[in-house]
Formats: sequence, structure tokens, C-alpha cells
Amino acid sequence: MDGLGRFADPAVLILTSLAGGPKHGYALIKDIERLAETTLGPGTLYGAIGRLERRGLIEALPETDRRRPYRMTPAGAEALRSYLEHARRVTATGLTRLEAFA
Amino acid sequence: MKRLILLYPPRWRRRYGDEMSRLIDDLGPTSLRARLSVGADLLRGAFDAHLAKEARMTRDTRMAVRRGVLVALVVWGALSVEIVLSNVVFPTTGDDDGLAVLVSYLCVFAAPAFTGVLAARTTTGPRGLAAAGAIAGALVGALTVTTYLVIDNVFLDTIGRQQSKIDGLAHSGMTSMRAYVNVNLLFALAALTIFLGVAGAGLSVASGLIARARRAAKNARTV
Repeated sequence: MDGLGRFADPAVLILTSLAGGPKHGYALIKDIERLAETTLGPGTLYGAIGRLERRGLIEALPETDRRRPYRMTPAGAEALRSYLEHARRVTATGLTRLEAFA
Repeated sequence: MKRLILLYPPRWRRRYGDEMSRLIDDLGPTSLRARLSVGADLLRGAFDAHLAKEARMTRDTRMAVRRGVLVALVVWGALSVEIVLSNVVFPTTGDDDGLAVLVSYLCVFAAPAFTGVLAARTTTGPRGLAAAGAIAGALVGALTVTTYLVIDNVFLDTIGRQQSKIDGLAHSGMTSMRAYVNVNLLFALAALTIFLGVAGAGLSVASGLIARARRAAKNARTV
């Protein structure tokens, strides 16, 4: 997720959503609202989509009715797995230390 | 609200404009607060899209400039060896190093021209070629004159026996060889850096465009 700047968090949310299957913009926003309780605006969503697409982490599928679905590429799956495993290690360490702190 | 999409770069609009417009339709009528939030998000997104476009342009130019710097350092290294050999290791008092000087001048002008050929492989336009050539030319000029400044000051006893330096000092009205050498070299540092920067930009653009045209012609023949 290096080099994504302020789009790093939305990029993780988009990849996590696409891990459940291809989705277009509106479906992504609704799925992310459910899984992360946050609403991405259209500018943030497509800013992150553009960056993910340029890095080959997601790819566009054929458009239907002005809605273009996106799906995660194998490189995107690898990037997401690497990020989440790192986050899991940090989370585990943080929780362990918090228990000792309390 | 959808009019804000017009603020995005044209290339971005062609790729994502329709989808984003449809997404705004799908989001449907919302409260004033939500509309303001979406509007602010679109403005921020448009700003980011322009910044990303600029960043992509400068990445090409940065790569071309790095090649210019690399070529300049190689040429400067070679010229420095020649300068040390001809002025310190095998010093002469006369002007019998005409061939070496001619080759040195050719290298100085070949550096930005070669930079243009290298930069044309990746950079998108004349601006990147010009920047790379200007850097290559100016750097070769500045570093080479700086080498002379160091050598001439450190080995002033040896350099001061050169007939051209003795004649130059006599005509300058100065009384110190060190002052005469330094004044001339500082003037050369400014003048050569500017001249080679400008000439380098032109040479790089010309050689880069020629290289690109030759490559296009070769590709056309292959097809």
C-alpha cells in the first residue's frame, strides 16, 4: 500500500470489499459502509480506484448500464494479504502489551 | 453536483467520468449536509487528480534528468583524469595538447546529445529532453571548471609555468598568478555553466527527437 498517500485506507477497504467478489462503485460504497461503518465519497472512492488500477491491484470488467465493476487481481490479493498480516501482528502485539499495561 | 466532475483532468474524466456520474445518480437525493460533504469530496478528488497528473509528468522528467546527471558525472570523471594527467602528471609549458583539448570539447558537447538519446527512450516530450540536456551540459561545465579551480590552486607552482598562463598574467595587469587564475576560472564557471546549460538543452532536444524519429521509422519498417 506504499505510495497511496491519503488513499491508503480507502484502498484497503476497496480491496477488502473486492475480496468478496467484483463490485461497481455504488456496491463498493454500500459494502464498505457495512464492513467498516464509514462512507467513502465519490471523489475518494475513484481516487483510490484510479491508483489501485494503475498499480495493477484491481482491474475493470466490461461496463453495463454506465456501471463498471472492478475485481481484485492476484497482485491485489497478495498486497492485501501482506498488509492484513502485518496489521494482525501489530494488533496482536498491541493487545498483549495493553493487557500487561492494565 | 455532477458539474464538479468537470473540474477533473480531461483524461481522468474520459476514464471515470461516466461511472462517477452514475454513482452520484445512484446515491440519490440526500440531505444538504450530505450534498455538501460529497461536493467537498469531489473538489478534493479533483485536486488530487491534478496533482497525480503532475506527479506522473515530473516522474518522466526526473528519470530523464537522472540520466543527464549520470552522463555528466561519467564525462566529468573522464575529463578530470585528462586534466590531472596533462597539467600535473605530465605537465608541459607549451600549447602542444591540441588533440586532447579537441577531444575534451567533443565530450562536453556529446554529453547532452547522448543524454537526449537516452532520455528519448522514456520521456514524453521536449520539456523533459531539454531539462535533462540542460542539467547534463551545465553540470559538465560547472564540475570541469571546478576541477580546474582545485588543480590550479593546489598545483599553482606547476600550472604557473605554462606559457599561456604567464602571457595571460602579463596582459591582465594583475600581479598575482593565483588571483589571475581564479578570476578567470570563476568567470568561466559562470559563463560555461550558463552556455552549456542552454546549448545542452538544444542538443538534447535535437538528438532526442532524431533518435525518436529513427526508432519510429525502424518500427514502421518492421511492421
